[in-house]
Amino acid sequence: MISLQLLSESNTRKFDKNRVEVLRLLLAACCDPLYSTAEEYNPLASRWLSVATAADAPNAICLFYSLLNTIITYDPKQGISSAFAADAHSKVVELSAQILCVLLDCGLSGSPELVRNDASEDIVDFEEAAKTGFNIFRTTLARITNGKELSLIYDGLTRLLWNVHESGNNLMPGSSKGIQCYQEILVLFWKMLDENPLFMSHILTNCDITKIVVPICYILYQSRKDPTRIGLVHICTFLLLKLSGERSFAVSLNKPYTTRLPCDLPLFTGGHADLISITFHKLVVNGCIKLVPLYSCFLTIICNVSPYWRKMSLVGAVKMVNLFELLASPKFIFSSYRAYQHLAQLLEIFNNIIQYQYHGNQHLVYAIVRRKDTFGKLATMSLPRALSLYEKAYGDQTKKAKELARNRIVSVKHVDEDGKDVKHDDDDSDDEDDILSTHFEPTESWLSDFKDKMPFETLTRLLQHLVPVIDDVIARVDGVVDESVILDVLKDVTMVGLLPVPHPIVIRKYQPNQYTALWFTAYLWGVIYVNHQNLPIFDGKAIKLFRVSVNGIDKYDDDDTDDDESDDEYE
Amino acid sequence: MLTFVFLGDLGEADVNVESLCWGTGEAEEAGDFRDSIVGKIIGVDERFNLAKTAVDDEEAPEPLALLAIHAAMHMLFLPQFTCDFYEEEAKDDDSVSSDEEEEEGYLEKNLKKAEQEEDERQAKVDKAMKNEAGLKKISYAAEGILLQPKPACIVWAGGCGVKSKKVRIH
Repeated sequence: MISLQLLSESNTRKFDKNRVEVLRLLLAACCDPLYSTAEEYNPLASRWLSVATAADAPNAICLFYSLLNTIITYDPKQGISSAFAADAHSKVVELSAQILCVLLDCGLSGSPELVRNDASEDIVDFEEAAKTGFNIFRTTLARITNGKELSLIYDGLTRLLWNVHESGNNLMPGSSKGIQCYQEILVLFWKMLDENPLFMSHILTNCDITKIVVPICYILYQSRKDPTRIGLVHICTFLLLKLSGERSFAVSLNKPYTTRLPCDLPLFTGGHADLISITFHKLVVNGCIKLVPLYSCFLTIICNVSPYWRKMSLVGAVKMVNLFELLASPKFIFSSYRAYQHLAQLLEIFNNIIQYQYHGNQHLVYAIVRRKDTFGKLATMSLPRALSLYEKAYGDQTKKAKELARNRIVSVKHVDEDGKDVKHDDDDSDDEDDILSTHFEPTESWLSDFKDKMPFETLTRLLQHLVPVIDDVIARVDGVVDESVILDVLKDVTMVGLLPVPHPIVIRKYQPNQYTALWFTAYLWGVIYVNHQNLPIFDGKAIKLFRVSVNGIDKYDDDDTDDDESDDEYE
Repeated sequence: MLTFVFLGDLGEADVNVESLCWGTGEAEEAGDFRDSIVGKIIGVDERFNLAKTAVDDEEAPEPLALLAIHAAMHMLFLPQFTCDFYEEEAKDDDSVSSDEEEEEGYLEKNLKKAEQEEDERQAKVDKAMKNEAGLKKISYAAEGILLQPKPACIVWAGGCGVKSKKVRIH
């Protein structure tokens, strides 16, 4: 019996090694998207991928289920011994994830319409299979309709993502092996949400959705400062954005958060909505500069879940109000014409909670009352005040920029004899343009737009009623008061009839578009390229889909550039 | 009837590589046509006058690239190389014969009954979910491309889509 088992294990190892080699071959054969520029990329153009995903591709369905099952049944925690031994199977899992993502990334979406033959087996009719762009892998994925199988896929993917923080959360270092392919798993998760019409509703109603939220937040938190992991932050944000468009997702986030993540995340007692908001707060205040374009997405996610946020934790409430204060600072608010939109989103979050979840959110209400001046000053913003704040924030820089612009106009050194512009090495005109274009002087029309877009009414009414109540409580005990007493008072207060008529709940849903699809293609191939550097299978010099650089220097611009493989970056 | 249609472009190809991978050694006229519809897809695209060119020929030369991809996909399921070899079962599912059924004890029977009830409950939930997603209608076709792995026993691991008892879960 034992010898049979050993034989079987030895066979499995042998098969795994062979599978790795053949999968690498298949990956190398299907890599032509790498050699197309992002602008010219066409998911139908690769002949190699079309052959591999055609209806008559041999063993295509067996390959689909082999790749999928290999991924979802892999448990990196299985046996401590595997953590110390070279594991061919983990390599198969990694390559399976890559190949599956690649095969699902070409052609057109599969039709989920159910077609069966006389034996009640799922089929695709020939007419459908003959259409241009038909992809048997995408069609098979779209046709998984069995609830048990969808749960199995969800559990498998979350188990792998959960491993990302679990591997760093052990008393014995190295006792649990961390998976390398978590980025591919995130792409696969996205594909599942995107391609299978039942997956989202199934996991939201039948599975514990917070299982995916925790690892995503951990990855976001850990990647926030690293510019080379900006893509990872993007994909995690997109996933949360897509999920946040669903009501049941937002409701599920009220589940208490009890996990201890191996990072310096502030300790709090609250739900998963708190985890998301605290993570995003950290990304804004302590993330790299490249995350600025994502701020709007972060706030949209919180805004989508806020009407259902039953009890915000103390830490969560303080962080949200701190974030408001930060985004209301003159330096930020005058950084661009529409920078106030972030503030408008935060106000919408506060309004949603006050109107729909007032009871249970005393921490937030109290945090708002404590910062009443910040809200009051913004609500009563006038043009002279705006100009004065702007002057304080950007006065020096504006003066310098104007001076430089004037010098440029009167100078002749930038113009040749024919009147054409001449670019000098020390030319700093681009910087000037940046300064002049990004900052602006507040005007009457800006103030009018600002006031139109900022929904202050609910907060103003709240403060008008609560500030005197709290002042009265404090006055009664000569200024020495326990905060819990104030929280109790806030809990007992009713705002019915004092607040404006509740506004409708607005949910902003992700809309699929070609730009996001292209971004995912570039991201996927970037991850694959970086993970295949030890034994390169792609021609790095010919890659056009993204820019290959080492430590910020374009890798193939200069032949003398040091090929430091470990620090490869793709953008 | 088999055709391939490709749209778009992935840049300038090297002529020699192009010829090596996608050439078939056919006459120029046939080759030009085949370049535009390289490979095989089951079905017909009306934009191409297929009747005139007779693409349904089983013996027509196939490009090396197509053969390479197909070979790789075969190699991924080569018995004793990338997967175990099993005799194809008469039935790939978990159904048991009547003899086995007779041997079952009271406990097994109850367990099986509970499983069946759970399956029925799950089927109802699945049906409701499909209705909600607008997948109420099931159409039937006499023939088509099967979306179930056959033979199921060559699939590397059990889990989704595989009911064969012989496929292990790692």
